[in-house]
Amino acid sequence: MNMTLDELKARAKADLDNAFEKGKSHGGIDETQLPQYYMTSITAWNSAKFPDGYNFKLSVRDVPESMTSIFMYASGVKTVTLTCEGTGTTSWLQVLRGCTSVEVFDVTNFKVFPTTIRHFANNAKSLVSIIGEIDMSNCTNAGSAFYLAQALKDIRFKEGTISIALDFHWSTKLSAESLHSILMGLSPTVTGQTLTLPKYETCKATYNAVYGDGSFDIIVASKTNWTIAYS
Amino acid sequence: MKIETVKYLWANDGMWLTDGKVYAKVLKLAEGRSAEEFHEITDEEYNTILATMTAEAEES
Repeated sequence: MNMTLDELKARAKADLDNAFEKGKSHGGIDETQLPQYYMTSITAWNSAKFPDGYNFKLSVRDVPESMTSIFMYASGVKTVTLTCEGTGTTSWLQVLRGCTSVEVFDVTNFKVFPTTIRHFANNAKSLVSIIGEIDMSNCTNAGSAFYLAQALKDIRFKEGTISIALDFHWSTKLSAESLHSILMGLSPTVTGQTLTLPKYETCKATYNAVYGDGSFDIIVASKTNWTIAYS
Repeated sequence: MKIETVKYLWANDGMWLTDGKVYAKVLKLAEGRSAEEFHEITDEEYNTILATMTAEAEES
């Protein structure tokens, strides 16, 4: 059945009202944010108050046009699992910014290509694991993506897709496997870019403990087109 | 057989290396870059710069 634009808008608003009421029973969104909430569903759970330890799951058919601020400043949520039938590009601008409760972000079955990860996990101080490979082929901005992401241990990138500066110096708990994925994720052709990691001695010890003595310096040396800075 | 060696640039104790954009205690330079592009600043100077960068990251 074909719907007019007004009918589509009315149905979308009804869906949002319903979602909001469900969230409202758990504390909900500040009512002063309602106009923003109605204007764009991409901020659907911006500042939402979830019950402590909440495991959030969302399945969508198509890749959202944008996921900007979708969980920014949300509280209580512990795990976020996203699945999508389709694939495509989308913005990951400040997706988890200020979401200090989230520990796991699972995109194993959410094959999207972020165009930006600026402020993605800015102040996501409890974030431990990003599960699922991130393809950075279309990403042009990673400013402050992992600012104060001090608990981050697990992250994986698609090999060779990182062509912009990345700064992980706050993430002192990165596993050897994560360090490996970050280094292997670096584009072999881009020039003029810098990867910033935590303390050299920490990275080296962590990496070599798994991959063998001397391995860290070998893999770093192989990234001849990248400047690698250690804090 | 090919042996790769990596050269690191180390800041002196109490100092940081910088080219105005990158700040580091230790650096592995990309091919084509030289150590002369970097100079040292003190921990105090770095902390002042860090506070500014922090404020920008919080506000932007």
